[in-house]
Amino acid sequence: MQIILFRTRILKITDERVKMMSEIIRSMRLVKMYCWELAFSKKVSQIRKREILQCGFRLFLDCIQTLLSNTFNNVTFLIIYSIMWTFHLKFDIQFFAITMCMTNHVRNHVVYPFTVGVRNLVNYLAAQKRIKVSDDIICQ
Amino acid sequence: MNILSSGKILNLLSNDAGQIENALFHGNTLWKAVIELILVIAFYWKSIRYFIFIAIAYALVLLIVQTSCSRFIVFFR
Repeated sequence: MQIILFRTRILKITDERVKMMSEIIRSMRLVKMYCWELAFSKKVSQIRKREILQCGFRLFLDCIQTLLSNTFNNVTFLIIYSIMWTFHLKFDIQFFAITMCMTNHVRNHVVYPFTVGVRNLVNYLAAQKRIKVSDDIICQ
Repeated sequence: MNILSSGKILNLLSNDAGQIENALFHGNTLWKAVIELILVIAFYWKSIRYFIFIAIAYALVLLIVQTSCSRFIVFFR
């Protein structure tokens, strides 16, 4: 229940900011006339700070994904080496070359595109929900 | 109509409409990844043998972690 509340609150931040900015700019003459700049700038900076925090959280999750897909090659090799080391297996240049080819291929054609695909699909699902909500409001 | 604020409409047009295009563009990679993994096993089985499954297993772990990360991203959108 708390998660749902948190989510709906964060979804609204960007809408809120755009709405507030457009309202302030529309009535900028009034603000200037009565010298209300300080109060309004405080409000604007507050809402911007909240949005930046939200963006920061999202980018942090993106960062984890990028880190994992970028280190795929090296970590795979580390695991393979350590297994060969513990079992005293033979290691030669041919094996290294072919394994390198394989890990590069898997990273470039499976891990990267899959990450991008999942990210875009998730973004689409979030967008679809919002489009549906506003569609219902319009059709009423 | 008055319930829909101008900020919401602007957001719909600038962000949400573009996401449909992106999803269609990158959506095919999801089923392509599975076929690609099977093909990789088939091609490299002759030369690397069992070590191929280390790479595949790690890739699968990454895919699962990234999918769960993306599920979490929904909360922030």
